[in-house]
Formats: sequence, C-alpha cells, structure tokens
Amino acid sequence: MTWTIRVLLLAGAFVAATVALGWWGVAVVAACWGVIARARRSSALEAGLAALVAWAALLLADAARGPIGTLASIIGATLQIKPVSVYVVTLALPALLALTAAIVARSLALARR
Amino acid sequence: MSQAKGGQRTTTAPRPRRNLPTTVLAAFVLAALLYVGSVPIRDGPPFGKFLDPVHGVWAVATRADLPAREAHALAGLGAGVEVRYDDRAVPHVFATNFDDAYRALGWVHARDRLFQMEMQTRAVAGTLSEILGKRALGLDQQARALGLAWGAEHTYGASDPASRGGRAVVAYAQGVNAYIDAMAGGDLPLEYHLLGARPMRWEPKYSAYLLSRMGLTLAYSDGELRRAQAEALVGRAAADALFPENAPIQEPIQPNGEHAPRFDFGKIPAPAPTDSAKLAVATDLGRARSLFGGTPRADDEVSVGSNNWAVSPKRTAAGHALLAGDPHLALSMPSIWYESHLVVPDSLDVYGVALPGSPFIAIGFNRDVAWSLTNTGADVADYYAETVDDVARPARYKLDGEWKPLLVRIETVRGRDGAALATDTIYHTHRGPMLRAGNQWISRRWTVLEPQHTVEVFRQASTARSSKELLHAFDAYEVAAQNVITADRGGHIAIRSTGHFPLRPKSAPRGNVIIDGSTSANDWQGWWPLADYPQAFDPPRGFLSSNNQQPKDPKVDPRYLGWDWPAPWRAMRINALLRADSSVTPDAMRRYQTDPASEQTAIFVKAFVDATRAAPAPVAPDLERAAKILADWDGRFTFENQAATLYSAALDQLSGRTWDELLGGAADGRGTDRRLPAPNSMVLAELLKDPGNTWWDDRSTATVREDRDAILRASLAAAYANTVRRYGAPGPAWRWDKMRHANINHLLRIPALSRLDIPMQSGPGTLSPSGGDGTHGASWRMVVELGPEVRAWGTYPGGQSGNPMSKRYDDRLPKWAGGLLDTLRFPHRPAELSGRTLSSTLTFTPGRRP
Repeated sequence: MTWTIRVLLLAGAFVAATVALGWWGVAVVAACWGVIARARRSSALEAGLAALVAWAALLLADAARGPIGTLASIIGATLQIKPVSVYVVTLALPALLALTAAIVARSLALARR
Repeated sequence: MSQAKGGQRTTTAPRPRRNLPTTVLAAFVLAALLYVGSVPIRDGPPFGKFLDPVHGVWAVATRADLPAREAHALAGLGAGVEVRYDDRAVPHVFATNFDDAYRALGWVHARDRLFQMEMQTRAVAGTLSEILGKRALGLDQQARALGLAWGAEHTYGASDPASRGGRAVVAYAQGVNAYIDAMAGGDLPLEYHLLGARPMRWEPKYSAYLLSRMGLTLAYSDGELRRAQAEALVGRAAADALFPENAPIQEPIQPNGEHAPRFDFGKIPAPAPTDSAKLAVATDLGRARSLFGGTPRADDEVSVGSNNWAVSPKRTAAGHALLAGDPHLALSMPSIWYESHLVVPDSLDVYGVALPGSPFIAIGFNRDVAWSLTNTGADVADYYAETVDDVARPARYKLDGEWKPLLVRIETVRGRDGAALATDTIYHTHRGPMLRAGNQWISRRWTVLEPQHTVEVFRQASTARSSKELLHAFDAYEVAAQNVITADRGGHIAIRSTGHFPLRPKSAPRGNVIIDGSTSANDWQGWWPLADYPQAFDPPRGFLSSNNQQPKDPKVDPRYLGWDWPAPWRAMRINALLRADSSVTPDAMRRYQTDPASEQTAIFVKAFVDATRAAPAPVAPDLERAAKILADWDGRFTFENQAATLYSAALDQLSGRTWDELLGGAADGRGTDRRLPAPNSMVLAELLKDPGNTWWDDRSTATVREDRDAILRASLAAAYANTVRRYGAPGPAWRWDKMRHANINHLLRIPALSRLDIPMQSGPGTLSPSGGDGTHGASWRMVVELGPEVRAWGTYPGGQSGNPMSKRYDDRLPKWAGGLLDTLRFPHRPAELSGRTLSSTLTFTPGRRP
C-alpha cells in the first residue's frame, strides 16, 4: 500500500468517524491508527495529514451545497478574525488533534510492549 | 528506527524513552485541544463541536436554500398537508382542517425562525441569561419585575384549551417541537452554534408570552413618572400644557365632521419655580423607572409611525375598496413578521403576517376582507402610591384603612450553567407589581398583565366575511389597544380603536398622575363599553385613516383616554392626500406610504424664515443664507435633498433651546443632570403662536430675555454653523440620504448579521418617519384591493429566512428601502403555484406520536 493510498484511506476513516461521532471521532481514529501503525514513525504525521484532508473534503462538500464563504465571513466578523483564519482554524483543529492523539497512542502502545 | 536489510526496508519500534519529550508535549497539546474543543469558552461554544464540518456551524451553509421537494411525517396530523413556497419564499399551507394547518405552520415557523422565537420567549420569561449568560441579567430582572410571564401564564391559564384558538395554539406547539425533534446538525440555526446552545422545547403558553411581549412594546407607559419630574420642575399647569391630554391639533381617527385639521392652540403657562421637595420624590421615581421598564415602549416622536387607511369604492379608480397598512415597530433581523397563507377548504383562506411564535395572522386579508392595525396608545397603565407596613421589607399594604397581605413573587435568574445569578422579591398589591422609589412604593395596574382572549380574536378575524364581522371578531380584543381598520369586497370600510380602556372613577379620573392607592375608590371601575370606542363605518367622506393620533375629538367625547398623543402630522398628510385624490389606485396607496412630504415643515420653515426677515439689520450673512435655503426648499425629505439636513438640525436646535427649563438636576444632588423628553413638535408649534412666552427665554443668558424670533434665529444660525462644520459648505455632502438611515440590528446585535446604514426617504412628520438611531420603521407594508378577486402587495424589511446564509435573509430590503412592494400570490389551489412561481414543496404525512 503506497503512502498516498494509506493517507487517503485513513482520511476516509476520519470522514466516517466525524459523521458518526462528531469531532471526537478524529481523536478516536487517530489513536487507533497510532496503535495499529505503531511500527512506523510516520504514523502520527499520516494521521494529522489524513485528518486535515478529511475535514477539507467535508468542507468542500459543504461548499458544494451552500455559501460557506459567506459563512466564513460572518463567523470571522463575529469572532473578529479574518475569514481565512476561520478555514485555517477549522483545518488545524483535526490535524493537530489527530497528530497528537496518534503520537500519544503510539507511545503508550510502544511502552506497553 | 528503520534499517535497510537485504534490500528490504523494515521498521523497528524506537525506544519510548527517547520520544518522551515529544510524547509529553503531544499529550499536553492533545489535552488542551480536547479541553477547548469540548468546554464552552466564556459565553461561546465549545470549539470542537462548533468547527465540525458535519454537525457544527459549517453545516448551516448547507441549509441556506429550501430543498425543491421535502417530505416529513408529522405526528398528530389528521390528514396530509402540502406546503408550497412561492417565489418569495412565502409558505402556502394547504390542509384539510384547522389544527393540521396550524400544526404545519408551527413546523414552518420553526424552520425559518426558531432562534427568534426562543429569544422573544426568553425575553418575556426573563431567562435570556440561561442562553446569553450574565450580560442579560439586567434584562431578565426587568422582565420579571414587569411580570410579563406572570401575566401571560394567567392569560394562558384562563384560556379554553378546547376552543378552536386553544387547539390551534397546542397544534402549533406540536409542529414546532416536531421540527426541533427532526433537526439535523445543519438545521440548527447559526445563533445556537455561536452560543453553544440547543433549542428549548416549545410550550403552548409561549404564544401567550408573545402577546405580553407585544403588550410591552405597544401598551407600556411610564410617562406618569416622567411627567411627575416635569411637574416638579415647572409646575402642574405648565406640565399639563406641555404633555396635554388633548392634542392641540385635532385630526382624529373617528371623523369629526370637519374638513381640515383644527388648531386648538392655547397659551402655555410660564414655567413655575422648581419645587425641590417634589423634585426629590420625582427623581427617585425616575430612577425606579429602570426597574419596571428595560425596554419601554418607544414613544418618542420619531419612533411612533404606524399608519393605516382605507378608501371607499366611490373614491377609487377601479371602484373597489382599498386598504393600506404599515405598522412601525423596532426593526430587527430577522424581521418581527413572517408572511404566510393558510388554506382549509370552505373554512379558512387567510394571507398575511404573523409573529413567529404565534399561529395567527395579525395583519392581512382573506377572500372577502382585509385589515390592518396601528397602535392606539391609550393610557392602560396607572400608577398608585401605596402605603406599606415596612418600607424595607413590606409584607402588607393599607387599603381602605385595613392592612392587606402583599402577594410575594420570588424570581431567580439563572445563568448558562443553571447557577443562580440573582434572586429578586417582587411584591404585588391587588393592582399589580410594585416598585420602590426611595421611601415610596408604587404599584401599577396594567391591562397587559390581566387575562386576555386575544388568541381567539385573531383566529376569528381570519375567517371574517365582511368588515362588520371583522370588527365583531375584535369585540373581545383587550390588549394592546389597536386601531383596527378594515375594508371588504362589499365596498365597506370601517375603523375602531379597540381594546380594554379603563373606566376611571371620578376620584381619580386621569391616568397621567400618580394616584393615591390607599383607597379602593380610586381603582378602575370597569371598561369602556364597545359603543363608546372611537369608531366609524362607511363615513360620508369616503376614507378612513389612523396614524397613532388622538382617536376621538374631545369636542365629541371629552372623556380621558390617554395623553401626550403623537403629533398628527402623518394624519394631516395622508388625509390631505386622500382628500385631494378622488380616484385612488393601489399604486397611489403604495406611494403614499413613503410620501416624502411633512405637514410639519410648512409651519416651522415659515417661522424660521419670517424670524430671519424680521431680524434687525445687519443680518449675519450665514443666517440669511440658511433662511434662503429653507425658503427655497420644497419641504420634502427626498434622498437628494440638501435643505432637509439643515431643517432637521434647526428643529433639533429649536427644541433644545426652547425646552431648556426641562433640563432638571436631581434635587438631592445624587443624580446627574438630564433633560426630560421634550414636548412633541405639535406643542412647539403651539408655542410659536405666542412670541413673548417665557418659555422662549434662554436660561443660560441671564441678562437677556429672548423672544420667539431670537430663539428661531439663534437655532437656525447654530444649525447652519454646525452643518457646515460637519459636512462643509452646502452641497452634495448635505444630501439627505447621507443623513437619514435605517439601522436594522440582528437580535444579538452582531454587526455581520445586521443591516445598517440603509438610506431612507423619510423625515420628521413624514408618513414613514425616521430619526434618531434609525432602529424603528415600517415593519410591514401592505396594500389590498378588495375587488372580485382580491389583489395585494406588500413587503417587510428583511426576508422570510432567519438563516443569514440564505438569500431570503435580506432579499426584501432593497424594495422596502425604495418604497416598492411585491405582488403577493394568493392562490386558491396548490396547482396555481408551479414553475417559476414555486420554489419549494414540503409535504407532511400523518406520523406516529413520539
């Protein structure tokens, strides 16, 4: 399995988990991935990237169905930040969440071995 | 750790200890993310859920537009209901029985306006803090002190749940809750996401809460407390003249047989010396006002502006009765109104606007009759000075020489986490809740807090077949008193100021003073009989109108109905237009609604110009220039007008300089100096007829005694100088559309969701007045032609959807601001809405009860 396919499949898992469990699903899948792929040092990075890709895909799906640009402007104005920052924060959250959850889970799995 | 071994890449696990700092850092960041992701920050949402693209705020964008087709099971339905949204996003609800129609309407209202419905309800219940946090504590305390929910629950408790109106309210609530139960993540309105909140369940009694809310908006009055201050400052005789029981310009709602306004100008008594003792008490009263009214009725001259009028077939071009209505209220995004059309074959076919949260059309039309409302502004709240056993902790009050127990209401306001933020004790006499003003306790009797049957009234109005039946439906209407105008297909027009008007005893005949509460003889004796209400049916003059002015000419009926009536400038204008037009068209009715002329300007412009011409030489060039600008002005507040800017500034100057005696300080030195609300412009016009009156004197110039013309000249000169200083020399920068704007704030006052600085063609005294902060205006404009087929036009500021992502959130604003109306679709059958006129179809089928 190539790295790209692995990341895309993992992103699919993040999408499914987000739909089923909400944002917590990202941490759950990333933790599972950290344990399953503990043998590879890059597993956490893969998780972070896949989570980012997953939420970006979900945002694109939202964009296909509605004016998310307008929404970003409104949220930005409400929170007094630039609209682009709303996207950045939205994508940074799953990426960081998955990255850190995978690192911690992987470390715990390795420590138990 | 990876190694190349025999051409094959293998991975071995690193030693955990070497990665410990990374792991610890990751654990720390993970914990922080989980914390900020799941715990609300201040009064905002938890960020994880908020940013979730499936269940969070992003999903709101996916519900911006109504789907072309949608079907839902709705518990409690007797049969299927079809809702067709037309090209203006107006739902046309086709049902087979009343209850199903109202059940579907509840669902429809909730889908478009759920957050608004909850906010309105919480504002009445005093539970805004539970969703907004501590910042709403003051509003909640005031709502509870007013007793709005307390009164509404009496109303709901007194209603008959088996009546058609009662059943409709219950069915409506079921529809709202069915929508809440069926909501997916994206259906949750944006505001809930921003607040990190979930919608509350909708109870039928909340529709009664809404009526209390309108009572507060339309029938709240604490002018007595302000008037007490004025009386202490300038004496009773002067206070009576400044805030009179009878309008000095008579152009009443009930035609008085006269063909022009009557000017009953008298002499305004000179201000008497300030009574310090009275002022101390009045100042305490003034401070106590804030306890009773956080959002008092907007009763200043520019905030009141509702109009309605009807024209008989003999004066219309097509020979059909015409009706126009434009209630003015505080503007909000989303709009206070929601447009809908309800059809139940052979029994209901009504179109109009309702308040989201109420199942009934408040203003609208059916196949036979149309109606609209303006606020009567009658005095339906009286204040009584009570004697209590203990000023600090009262338990009893004295009535007719006996101590009576006070009803005690403990009100606890809770915050977002359910913890108590404040606990207040509200005391009630038999008249109503009390407020403490220094060492004095004042109770208030207010019709809004008494059981009402308004729900049934609007339901009956929906099915009226004629103007007579329509007025009959309003026989039982109590609060807030409204001027109901109606026209029907039979060519009849009628109007009635309707609502409960207190019958006051001879011992306390006026409601504009604080009444002695120690005797029950001073209590209200009942209500005016219907026959005495201001009213007219098919008047010989061929038209009727109401514009919040004094409803009845005191020469026709001198009884006290209220006081400090708004100046009748708008009544004078619309009546002048209607008298001059014996072939009125629907389009003329529309144009009249935003007519830019004001009857007020003729009086004041002449005064400014004449005073300048009478000035002793040499006249300052700037003053001459200013007077010429006004003299050349057409008196219209059109967008491009420049003189209107100068006029408005000069009028403000004139009012401020004339009523400087009302700039009273607190007698005890505790308060800050503040001006009481100025008498309205009609009283100022009255004073113009008395050039030597002491009121013209400027108190700040001790050695000079100014007369009328001196103050007029000084006002105009100051207005010109200020306008030049601010906008430069007369020119395009003075355009009226740069000065006068409508500002429509979102319910949470979020600027990005508000629509601000909308230029308006309106001014002081115009039919669509505006002023101040621009937050009041025409909340709905409607014109109806009662021909063989009823035709109607209308619009309101905003749009049908409460979702700011939707193009329907504000799509009506351009036409509203431009004074244009949309054609309202009034189909008989669902099939009449198809193709381009149909935007969405929603089908309900009977479902199982949860």
